[in-house]
Parts: sequence; C-alpha cells; structure tokens
Amino acid sequence: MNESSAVQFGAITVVLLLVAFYGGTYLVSHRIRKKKENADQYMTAGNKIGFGISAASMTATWIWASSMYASAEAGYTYGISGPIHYGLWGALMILFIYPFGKRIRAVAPRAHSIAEVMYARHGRSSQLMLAGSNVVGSLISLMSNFIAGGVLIAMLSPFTFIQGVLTVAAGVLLYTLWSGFRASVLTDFIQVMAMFGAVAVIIPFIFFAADFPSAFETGAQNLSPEQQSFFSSEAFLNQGAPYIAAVLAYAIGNQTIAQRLFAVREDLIKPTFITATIGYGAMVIGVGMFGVMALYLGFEPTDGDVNNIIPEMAASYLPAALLAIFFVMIIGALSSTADSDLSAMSSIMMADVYGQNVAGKAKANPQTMLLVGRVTMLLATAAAVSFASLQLSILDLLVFVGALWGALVFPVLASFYWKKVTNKAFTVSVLAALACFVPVRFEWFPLSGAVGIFVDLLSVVGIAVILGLMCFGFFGMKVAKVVAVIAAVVSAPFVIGFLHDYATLSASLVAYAVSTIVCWAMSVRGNAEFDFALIAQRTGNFDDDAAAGPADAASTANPEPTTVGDTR
Amino acid sequence: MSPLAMTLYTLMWPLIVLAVMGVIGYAFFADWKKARESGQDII
Repeated sequence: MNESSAVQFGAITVVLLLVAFYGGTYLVSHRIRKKKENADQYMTAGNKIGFGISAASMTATWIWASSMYASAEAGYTYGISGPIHYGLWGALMILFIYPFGKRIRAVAPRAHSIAEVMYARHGRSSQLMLAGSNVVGSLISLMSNFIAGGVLIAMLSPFTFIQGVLTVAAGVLLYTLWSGFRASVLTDFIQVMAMFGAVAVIIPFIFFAADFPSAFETGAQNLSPEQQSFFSSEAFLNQGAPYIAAVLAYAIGNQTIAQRLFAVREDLIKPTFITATIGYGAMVIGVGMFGVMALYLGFEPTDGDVNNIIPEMAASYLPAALLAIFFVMIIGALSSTADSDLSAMSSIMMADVYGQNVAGKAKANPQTMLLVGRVTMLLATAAAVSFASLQLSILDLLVFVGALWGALVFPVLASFYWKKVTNKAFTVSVLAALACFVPVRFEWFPLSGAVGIFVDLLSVVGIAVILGLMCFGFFGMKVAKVVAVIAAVVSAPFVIGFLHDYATLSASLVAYAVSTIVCWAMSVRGNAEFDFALIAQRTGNFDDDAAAGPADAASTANPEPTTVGDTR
Repeated sequence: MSPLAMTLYTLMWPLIVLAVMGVIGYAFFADWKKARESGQDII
C-alpha cells in the first residue's frame, strides 16, 4: 500500500464521512419506504420513472470505481488518447443500445428483465442462460466494488481492507434492502450529483496545483511518440478495440442496464440514454486525465500498481477538505453500482427463478417474491464479501464475462426482430459460441498456422457482426448489411494472419461470429413465424394491486409460452 | 498537441460534467415539484 498517502484521515474523520454518506442515503431511501412494498415496484419502480432520476441512475450505474481507475490507467499507459479509448467507447455503447432498448420496451412494456422476455419469446433454456450470466456478472461487479471500497478505506485511513469491505457492504445493504430498485435509483441521483460535483472541482484543482499547463512542456519528454499521438494504434488495438467488443455485450447482458430500460417512462428512453452517454463519457474521460497528468509529471505509483494513480494523485495535490470530497466521490461511484447489482440480482431471482420457474407466473405470491428478493440481497452480499477476500483478478474476470456475453448478443437481439429465431437456434448458437470461445480465450491449442487463420477469419465475421449490429439499431437492415460487408472487407487484410496473437480480442470476436452464423443458419430456412404481440401478454406485473395493467390479466391467463409456429 | 490544446482537452470534461449535472438536476427538481403538486411519490 502507498506509504506516502497512508493515514491521510484519522479514524474519526473516516467514520464521520461514511456515516454522513451512508446515513444520508439511508434517510433518503427511508422517505420512500412503504410498509408493504409492491413486488413489481421493488424490481422496476412501476415502469414510469421520470427523466431526472432515470438519467442520473443510468449514468451512476454505468460509472463504477473500476471504470475510473481503468480510465486513469489507460491515460497513464497509452498517453493522451488512452482515456478516449476507455471512456468514449463505453459511453457510445450506451448510445448504441438505445434503439434496441426502444424495441425491447415496445414488445415487452412491463417486463422486469431481458431473461424474462426470453422466456416469453423462446422458453426456459434461453431464459436461464441469460439469467445465469446476469447473476454471475452482477456478483463479480458487486465483489469488485466492495474490493475498491476496501482498498480506498485501507489507503486513506487506519482501517484495514476487510473492515473497509464490510463497511461498504453494510452501508449499501442498509439503504437497498427494504425498497430495492426504488431505493437504488433515488439514491443514484444523489450519488451522481456528488460524483459530478467532485469531478468538476477536483480535476481543475489538481491541474493547476500540479503546475499545468506548463508541465505539458516540461514533462513532454516523459511520453513516447505513441503516447503523444491522439491517433495511437497501440492504444486502439490494446485498449479501444477489445473494449468495443466487450462493452456492446455488457450493455445487452447486464441486468442493471435492462432494469433501468424497463423502469423509465417509455417516451423518455431516448433522452435518458443520450444524457447518460454524455455524462458517463465526460466523467470517465475527465478522471482518465489524471493518468495523463501523472504521465507528464513522471509520477510513479507505489509498487508500480496503476490502481494507485488516482488515490495517490489526489493525496498528493488535494487539501484535506477536497480529499474528503474525493473520498465521497469514489464511495459514491462504487455504492451506486453495488446497489444496482443487488437490485439486479434480486429481480432475476424474483422474476426469473421464483416467478417463472418455481411458482409459475399465475401462482407467484408477491410477498414471497419480496422475501426472495431480500434474501437474495443478503446472500449476494455475503458471497461478494467472501470472494472479495480471495484477491481475484477482477478485471480479468470482467473481461472474461464480457466476452462470454458476446455469445448472447446476436441471438438476443435477433429474437426481438426476427420471427424465425427459435429456442433451439438460440440455445445451440450460444452453446456453440461458448464451445469455440473458451479454447481460443485460454489458448488450449496453439493459435498458429491454419487454426490461427481460421480464428482470424471468424474474427473478421465478428467485426462485421458488431459494426452491423451497431448500425442496424439506428439505420435498419440495409445499412447494417452494407456496413458489415465494408467492415469485413476493410478489416480482413489487417486481421488475417495477425489478430490471433491477441487471444482475448480474438475469442470475443469468435463468440460473436459463431453465435451469429449458427443462429442464422438454424433459423433462415425454418418456418417459425413468432407473433411478437405474445411477449407483452406473457410478461407483466406479478403484484395484482393497482399497478397491474391490462396486459397482466392476459399474462396470468396464458402463463406458458406456446409460440405460434415455433418449432423449438 | 500544443499546451493550449492539451489544456482545453483536459479541462473541457469537467465543464461538460457541470452541464450534464445542471440538466439532470433541473429535470429531477421539476419531477419532484410535479410529484408534490399531484400528491405522489417521485418514485
């Protein structure tokens, strides 16, 4: 741990800051607390939250402690283009997802998770594959945020890492447990305001305190030509490109995003996503500039650990009052994502496991659902705290899960637009993609010779699929096909014979390619003609109080998905 | 990039953050006021 910044705050100061933060968020959540919570509101807040809360919540959820640390690391490693290759692509993924989000809401206006919609569209195996990946991803994210909190508290106070982890876990659980998603999104607003306010003050303060802009001249020799280039190919290939592939999958496979998609008022999806895009991008790229400044200053993080850049830069240049604001900023970032992860996991267990698979939609008891949700939060917190002590490589796990989700992107999206996709095509394509992804990712055999070329060919298809999907949402099928073909033709000379050396990126692209090829091949000649109107009937509220709409009566009357013409 | 360009590149992000903060904050309090007037919870 960094000796120079150790014990920046006394124990009492840190306790007061944590009590103020978590006590304040608890009081806010207490104001909206209801003695008898509604199960559907616990999961999606009644599908009608306004623009202010939804935009704040989408932004706060997408920003987590690791995204700030990783952006600074990108700036420190790749120079001036590094933060762009982290923050811009992450931001644009929010933007690229919104046309799909509008379609998903149009066909399933009162759903709680995409997995629930997959049950209505296909059946149990598709639903459970998506739900399972959602839970794993959220658990890793939760653990990562607890670890970030533990590290920060250990670095800036006399408390230990484990004490820090337990404090953050207890604080988040305290305000999220009773009201679930409603508490999560309302406190997100306060947390994102705190984060934005802190960034707006801290970046300019450190900039001038560290003798910038003159340090841009005096420290220029600390940067390599690649680090000084705004168009660094090294930054794109090592940081930007893998991130583009992973984050598109994240946006589709992550229940925290889907939950907000189903919660926001339907006519506010577009402004919500656009505002979150800009807010996330500016915040994360701005924090990434700490890494660039550190590079110009010749700043050496303790033990060479790039995760120390942000806290050590803050500890070196900020006075105590601003350091306290910085502390709150990081705690806010990790808490907002941690409470979202808890809400995401609880809704998956409530709707997808208990509601659809244990009790059945018609017989599901709303009070039991709430109990399932709260017990899930408690168990998930206990598991995340336990795993946090194992010191696993979080970023490796997240990149793995993100790439894994690449196998789901095409089958999930195609299921919302293409009537011919069946449960069999969905399941087989995802399993086939995983079967190809794992050996490539872990290099179970040498990626050389003909095998390497074959992997590169699949990577070309993967690139075409990703760019085609991005364009499809905005411009439709014709443009998507043209862009996909151009992407394949342009990328092929650079990819074939070269890209298989980058196993992480190749594996992710292979997952996209294989799932797309198999799903398409199994569907294109089929005679299934799914009626998308059935999804709205088969998804909907579980709690039969005033929140229930007309769609719910139909869903209760017809709980089992029996697709018209579906040959699964 | 020149020092001036780097300065603008570094300091533009907190300015954009401030602008988004204003947009979200304004929208939140507008929603809050509307909810209070109609006697409902904001969430």
